[in-house]
Amino acid sequence: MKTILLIEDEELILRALEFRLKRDGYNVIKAADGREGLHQIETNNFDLLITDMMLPFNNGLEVVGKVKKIKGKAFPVIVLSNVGLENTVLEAFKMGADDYITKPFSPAELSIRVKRLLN
Amino acid sequence: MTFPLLQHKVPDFYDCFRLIRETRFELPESLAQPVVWLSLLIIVVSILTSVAILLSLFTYRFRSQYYQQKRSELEKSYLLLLTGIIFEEEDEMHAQKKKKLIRHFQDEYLYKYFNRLILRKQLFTLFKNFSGSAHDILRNLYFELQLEKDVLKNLNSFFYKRKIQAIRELSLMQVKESTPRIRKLTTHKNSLIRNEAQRAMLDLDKENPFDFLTGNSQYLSDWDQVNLEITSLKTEELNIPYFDTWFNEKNPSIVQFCIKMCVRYNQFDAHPGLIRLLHSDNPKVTLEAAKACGELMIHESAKALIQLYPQTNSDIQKVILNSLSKIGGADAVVFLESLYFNAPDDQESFSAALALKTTGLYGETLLAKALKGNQQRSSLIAQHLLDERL
Repeated sequence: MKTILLIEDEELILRALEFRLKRDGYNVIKAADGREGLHQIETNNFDLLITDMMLPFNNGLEVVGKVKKIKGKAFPVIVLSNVGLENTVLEAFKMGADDYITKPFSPAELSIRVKRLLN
Repeated sequence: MTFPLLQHKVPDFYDCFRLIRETRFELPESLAQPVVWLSLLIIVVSILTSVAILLSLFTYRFRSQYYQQKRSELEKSYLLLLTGIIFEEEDEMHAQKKKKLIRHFQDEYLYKYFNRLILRKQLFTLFKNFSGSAHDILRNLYFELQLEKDVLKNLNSFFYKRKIQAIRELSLMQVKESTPRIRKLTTHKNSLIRNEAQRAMLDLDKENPFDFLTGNSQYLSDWDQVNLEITSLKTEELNIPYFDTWFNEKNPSIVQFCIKMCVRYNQFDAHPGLIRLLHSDNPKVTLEAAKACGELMIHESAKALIQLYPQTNSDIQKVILNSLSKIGGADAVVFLESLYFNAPDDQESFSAALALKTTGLYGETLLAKALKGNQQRSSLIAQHLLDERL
């Protein structure tokens, strides 16, 4: 079973997405802020990272940079964000994000994107 | 009352100390009794007040802890309901299961306002973050559980924050029933409520979203204008009106906003109105109209702008020069050229030269000629403007 690290500061969204991803057959590790996320990256093994952009303590871009440094450039990362501005999106891709999803997003769409990246 | 200190002529330090200790301030009997009672009363009232404050603090703390606990319990239960409904597959079995689940929650939880409030907040958060089928499912659930009834009541709330929250929720959830009531709030005396209601109208009345501008005498601040502009750009399927409809409004801030919106939506047909507004009594409106003439490159406005130039203030003059540089054309270039060489003020001459440069090839050629010319000021300005390092 593939494992996904999910970092999101809005608890309700975190738990809703966890429910959805588990239903899709994945194992989910949760983190509620950037600091916890970085800790999970260092201590756990996982196959995909889904992170929110705006996080307390360490933002999403820092998390993406860290995971790419530890797991290698090919490691799949999906960034979720409320901001759809061109600069922000480009910055995320420059940091190595493989996909960028602007909120509000369809959970079904997220499922498909996750499946595509893990296959 | 006795003051023994006064009986000694030259008291030393120790005498003073002793005498102070021995001094008694004795009140006459007629006064002593009420003072004692008053003091006692003050002491009793103070003790009672302290006890009351302590009790209220404890009660508040206990209540907030209780609600916090209740809230987290409810959130866990609701999450099951919401995720179950959003993420499960839609089939016949699911429809029946869903109905049963909703009935269960209605009976078990939703008879209390507090419980409904927590569910509403969760639903709202999910609604803001998810789109697609989840969006529709959440909205249907919101109406099925009749959660909009509580929010509609909040529109009458005394607290402005609650009112604003209600407006936001009703517009996001597309509660059409609330449209007339929210429309009334677009002229509310509180600017925060007013602006929230105005933005909500863009969501709720997509056919006539800007109708609230008509006859609105309330000031539309720059911040309000920016918010409305952004909301109009973000709102899908919005019927954008011709904003020159409101050019005759008495409220200058509304006229100013409509000029900006004409530029935003490239409403070139508004040019007769814009030229008319160049002669407005309100300098802010004139400035906005002059700017719009340049942004929309209205060639017909060049003459009016040139005529206005000597009659107006320096801020509007700068905008006119900038607009003329964008409009271009023979009239504009001749005017800018004359100002460049003949303006009494150096700054004015510089602004005209800068505008000339922006007009394109003709302007640049003219500056190149001036560089080699006899007029010292024009030559210096041209040298500065043509310097590629700057």
